[in-house]
Amino acid sequence: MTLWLLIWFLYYQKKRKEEFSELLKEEIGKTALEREKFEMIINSISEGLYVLDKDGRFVYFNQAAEQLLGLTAEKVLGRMDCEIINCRDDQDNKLCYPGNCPLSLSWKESKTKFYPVLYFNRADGAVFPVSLMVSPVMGRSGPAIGVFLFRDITRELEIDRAKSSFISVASHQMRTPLNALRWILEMIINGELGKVNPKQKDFISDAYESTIGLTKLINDLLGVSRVDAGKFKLKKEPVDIKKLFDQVVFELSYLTRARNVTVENQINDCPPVVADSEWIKQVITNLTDNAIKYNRPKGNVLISNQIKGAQVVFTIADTGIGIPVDQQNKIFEKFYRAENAIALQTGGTGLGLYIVKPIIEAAGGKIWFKSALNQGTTFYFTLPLAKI
Amino acid sequence: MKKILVIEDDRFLSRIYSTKLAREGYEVILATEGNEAMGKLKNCRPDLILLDLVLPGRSGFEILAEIKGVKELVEIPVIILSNLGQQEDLDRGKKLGAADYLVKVNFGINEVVTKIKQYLV
Repeated sequence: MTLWLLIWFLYYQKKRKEEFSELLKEEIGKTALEREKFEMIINSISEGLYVLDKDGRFVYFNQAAEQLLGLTAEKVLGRMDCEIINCRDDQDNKLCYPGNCPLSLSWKESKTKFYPVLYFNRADGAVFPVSLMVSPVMGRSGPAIGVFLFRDITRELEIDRAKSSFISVASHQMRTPLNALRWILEMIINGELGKVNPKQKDFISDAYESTIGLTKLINDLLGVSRVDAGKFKLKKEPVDIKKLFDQVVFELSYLTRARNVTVENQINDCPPVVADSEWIKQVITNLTDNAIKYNRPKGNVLISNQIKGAQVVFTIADTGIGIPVDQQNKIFEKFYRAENAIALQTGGTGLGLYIVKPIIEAAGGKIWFKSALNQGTTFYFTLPLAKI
Repeated sequence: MKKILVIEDDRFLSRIYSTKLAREGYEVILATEGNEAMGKLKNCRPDLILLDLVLPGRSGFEILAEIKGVKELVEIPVIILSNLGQQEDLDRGKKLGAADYLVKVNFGINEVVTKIKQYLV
């Protein structure tokens, strides 16, 4: 009896072992298939993908990474990040594990980090621009791996540079003849090129104002094209905002005289704010230009500032025609002009305020206004104080 | 009589500068590009230089760098008068030693003269 039991037990164990073996083979087969699928997917993407372990060593390197960097996975796996990739930012600072490496920063913040422009080098030493996304993967006891996804953005930067160059050249080519025309007309009006009778002066003044309008249109169109094209990288640096206001008031003095409006600039003792001086000057110009243009004869424009916490609030108040209540919600739309503004025939473009809002918001500020028909308009915008 | 060297290739603008500045009591010397400008600077020392940036041959930036590299010319104030108005142009001009940078389209001719006078006191 015991013998039969023993034989049955051994037979059962053998069967179990065979079944288990089959199951194991099946699972290994499935895993291999899944891995093959995974490899096919990862190697089908055009972006370079590599993985670093918690010591900064390569543990995975896809085919696109091999092609983009001119390296094989074989040469890279097990080696340190900085031995292979000379990653630099746009200030030419080297980003190396662990120090200021994107992976260290993403582990520290436990979130994916995106770098729009960095520079990598190929195996042959050639440097090329990339955009990089780094995703940290945390294990039970802390950082486990980091997944790097990058792509070559050489072409995109070339297109950006071409757009910027076109904007610069177009603006110069349009402005130059306009300048000559404007200055000649100015000299004629002032009697510097001989006497003009009142009727001639009147018509020439109209021509002069047309050149001013055309100049503003060109400035606004170029501003809009830069905003729309995303050429809108605001610098964030301390700016002497009083100097910008003084410059704008000076540059608009021809308009102040023409409209018979008084501009009172009460910007005083304003500490530096964080802004991009070129773009913020455009904001100040557009708001002040509107305040003068849509004013009544012998009207006033008051420019002032107030510090509120970590922000400075700037105010540009006019005694002009105001904005009808039912049209106020459209005032920042592209090409929109309120009906009473159109009726005034100032030659406005409807672009000035369209540009102003995204600039202020990108600078970390806010813009708003109060207005009532025939009772003037007050625009407010904020900018952050520069930390000293 | 104070002398102003105007480096400008646009003939209309050259004529305006010439007429206007003469009326204001200045002696105006004209040049349309870099070699001509440097040639004229060998023979006379102006009290101020008005410099356009987009010029045939060498750019205004290159000419400015050359002027600031000459010991006898380095103290002459150079005002850039250009329609290139992007911040990187302003920064570059200042870095090269321009006394001022005026974006032409933003100024009336009288305002330009007011600015010039500030540097000729």
